[in-house]
Amino acid sequence: MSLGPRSEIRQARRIATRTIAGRAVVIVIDARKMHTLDSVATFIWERAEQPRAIASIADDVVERFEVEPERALQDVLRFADHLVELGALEVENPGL
Amino acid sequence: MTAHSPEAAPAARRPVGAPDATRLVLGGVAMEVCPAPGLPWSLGEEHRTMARAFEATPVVGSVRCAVGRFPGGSRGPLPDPAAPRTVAWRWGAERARLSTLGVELALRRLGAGQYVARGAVEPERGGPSSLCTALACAVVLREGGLVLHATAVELRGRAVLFIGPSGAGKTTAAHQCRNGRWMARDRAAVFETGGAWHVAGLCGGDPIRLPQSAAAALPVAAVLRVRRGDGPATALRELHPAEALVALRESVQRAGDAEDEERVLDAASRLLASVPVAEARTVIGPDLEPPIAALLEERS
Repeated sequence: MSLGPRSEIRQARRIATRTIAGRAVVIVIDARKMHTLDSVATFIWERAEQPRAIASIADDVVERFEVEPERALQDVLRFADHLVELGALEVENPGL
Repeated sequence: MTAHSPEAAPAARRPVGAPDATRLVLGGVAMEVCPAPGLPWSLGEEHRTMARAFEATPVVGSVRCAVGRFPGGSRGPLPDPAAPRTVAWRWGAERARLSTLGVELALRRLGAGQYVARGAVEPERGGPSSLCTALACAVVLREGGLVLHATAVELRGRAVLFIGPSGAGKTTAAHQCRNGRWMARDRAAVFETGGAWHVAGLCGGDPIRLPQSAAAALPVAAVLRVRRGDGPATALRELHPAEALVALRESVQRAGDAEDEERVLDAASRLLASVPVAEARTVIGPDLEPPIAALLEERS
């Protein structure tokens, strides 16, 4: 699925996850796959605990990591696309 | 109720604690098993090797179990004894039903670490041994522990666990602890009791050419994720806690649904907060004790 800035994402319901020492470990139950996220990805992941628009998460990334807004948006979009594909994130509202 | 339900077994109404009860400790769980009159009851050689005296400590829980024969006798042809055995169960309201090769059990948790069970076995299928292993695994997991695919070695009064997938070199690593004593050859129960995490051996695995530890369980000194190294010497690197969590989760013998995964992640998180988890890139030959001792010294 192609996502846009207004797309709302959230952590999938069929996962188990822990954030430990700043890095998240995510287990996608049905896929029986486990993923480890780096610190930036963990930051984004934690903001998707409840449904959030990608643009809103990108704003948080800009504030936290002091990066350009366009770059932050592209990073969040790429991350979200990947985790949706893995089954770790769900699209609550495509917003397209 | 099905024909094979544990409640239907003749032994279900027999009081436990009879003089002919089998009492042992396996995988950190104390068991008192009372077979029905006339039921052939003997543990396999490996279970006799791994079992400890009923009084041995520490344990994470205890079970009293009455057991009879499956109504109608053995079910179908005997399977390949080398085939992997799985145990299936589901907890609900402190009760679980366990099912594995030649065994069906109804297990009830009375309180922290206290259980009663009623079951039926097929002695021809190794039922007595399977029953003890199933009870140990179920109790350890229910009490917040882990059952790991691991070898374990006693070193200086504590246990070092070697984890990793088949072929990673767990047995080789155990062999390279030259002053060690083996505790587990392929599967280990890991549990918290008395404020410390402990290891107890379960059955399975290839022989390890070290003396066997006499301990029923020992405190965990370290967990090492084994990989085959290509350098001149064995190197240990303490893992980032997230990497450690992944390594432990990969070595868990049973997980599946969300509830299982949550329980496993909780247990693994608590374990790695207490003991060092490192990656060991091992090369065949050198004694592993010095780098392990250095890791423990650094951590302390």
